[in-house]
Amino acid sequence: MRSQNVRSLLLTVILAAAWSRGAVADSSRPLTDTLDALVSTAVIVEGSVTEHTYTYDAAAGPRTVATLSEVRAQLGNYRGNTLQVANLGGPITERRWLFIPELPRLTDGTRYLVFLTNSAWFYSPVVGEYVFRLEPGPRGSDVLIAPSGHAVTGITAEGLEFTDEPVVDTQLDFLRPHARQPLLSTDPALLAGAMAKEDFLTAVRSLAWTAPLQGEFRGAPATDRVWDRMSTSEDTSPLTTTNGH
Amino acid sequence: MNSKNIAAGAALLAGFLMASTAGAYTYTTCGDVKVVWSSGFSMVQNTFSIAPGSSRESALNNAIGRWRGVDGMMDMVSKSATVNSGSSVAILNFQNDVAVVASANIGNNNGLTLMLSDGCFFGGDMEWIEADVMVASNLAPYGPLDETSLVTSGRKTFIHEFGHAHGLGHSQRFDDMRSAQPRPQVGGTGETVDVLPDDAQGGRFLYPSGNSEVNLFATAHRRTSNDKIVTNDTGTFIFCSKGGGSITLNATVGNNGTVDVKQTERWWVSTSGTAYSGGTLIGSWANGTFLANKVKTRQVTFTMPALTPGTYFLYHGVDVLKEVAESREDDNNVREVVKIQVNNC
Repeated sequence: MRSQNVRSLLLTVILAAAWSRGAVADSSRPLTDTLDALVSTAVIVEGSVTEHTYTYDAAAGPRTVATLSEVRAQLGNYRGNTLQVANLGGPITERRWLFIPELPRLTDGTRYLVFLTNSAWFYSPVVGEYVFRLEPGPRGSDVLIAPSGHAVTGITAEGLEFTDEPVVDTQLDFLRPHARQPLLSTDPALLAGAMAKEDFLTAVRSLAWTAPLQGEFRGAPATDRVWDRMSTSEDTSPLTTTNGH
Repeated sequence: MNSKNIAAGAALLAGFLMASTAGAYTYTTCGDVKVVWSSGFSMVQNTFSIAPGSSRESALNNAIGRWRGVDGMMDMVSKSATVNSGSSVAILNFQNDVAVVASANIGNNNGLTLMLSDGCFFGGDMEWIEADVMVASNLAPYGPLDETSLVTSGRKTFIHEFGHAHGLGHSQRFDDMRSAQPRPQVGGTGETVDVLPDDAQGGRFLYPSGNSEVNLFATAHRRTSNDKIVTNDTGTFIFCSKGGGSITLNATVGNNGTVDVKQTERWWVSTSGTAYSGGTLIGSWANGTFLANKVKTRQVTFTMPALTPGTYFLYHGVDVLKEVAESREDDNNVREVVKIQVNNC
């Protein structure tokens, strides 16, 4: 493991201690719309990434831990003013790296609005892709940028709406994996169509009347599995002669 | 096609770009050098979860076959002669596994691909060394899909995850690498879950072979300006049998080849749900050009001809005069979702 990540040992100890609560397997439902996301959420927080570290544990696997500071709950309850988002992925050894494209990635010096899951989690504590970079918008309010790099323009019970074009280049370079990515343009028009954070949160609070946030956020991954072996699901479907070619 | 019914008076009143996509694929780099496999990679099928001859295997075979079918891209992925019949798969064993797993085991994602690489220290010194593809078990259907389907399916998940296995990231366009379903399909009577233009362009960028490909497809789907994948039109249009009414349609065509294609399109109706080879023409557009690696949705307006009362299906075909030799011909004609009701008046 790289020398800069020696601090990971301490975090590993912290994570291991937290597991003693005995989390169970992930149980939240698949996300098909915003309401699914809300009922899978314990708390929505806002904070700034001030540090990235790596941990490794034989069971939990390699983790990239983003520390958010000045954390405050926007909806739901969260105690403390820091948050560690420990996604699966990162260095295993000096010459081996695990990368999971489906998981959200946070960058240094960036403010985020994060939906934290209410279920026992293993891969990421973030609900789906409900983690939004916050950027000052042209009208003085913050606007939200999704992991895809597109700005959020609306939210309904059915899902999120985005700008047609991305506003941030989301390309990942492993030489600087946590580098904050610049906006694609400094022209204020770039974010003109984006939804203000306040409007977004107002809409979320309204939707939460139908699909209220519930449960508690667990700070550490579930302990009922290991990262490097996965049970498969027996195929009991009828055989078919179609081969798809 | 009934030439007598060619709507000579059919007016093309509007045709404008609603959405176009190209070059939107994403990938990872090490010091600005793309991270790729150094050579082809073989996937070991977990036959406990993907039984030989099953619909899951059909989806797996389709994903491998479609990615290998991208001309201009080297054939990177293949199926290993070795299989794993166990009830689990291992990560970091230098074997590329593909399996179906319980959704809860992959964080309630539809699919998850775990990519292993060596380190990135100086730039340009990193490559993929293992890919393990997991698809959720609750994503039936895995078998072939109707061209109009927008269902969340295992078949679409397989082709998406194999994009990741090649090294592609997410991109929110008319493509397979969209982060969430629904994802669009090609039209026609053949396989409708195929590698789409942005995906193919990304694959060619990562693993160029230098070859070219010519292929257009019509599709029943479009991407809206707020990034939703929907059907071109929905519901039922109602007309009088004497004809003369005006119909405005969304029409989407993709070019997942490497060359611009000039061709002729037609729109026709039929009371048959399988009239892919022709019916009563309601409009045409000659010499339309579709740019390589792009998907274009535009609105077209025609004057309806006189029709016998009844309920009609609407079809849209590209390269209907077979002016272009394509890598696929079975994706040129699509049956749209919208219906046309012709009343006796």
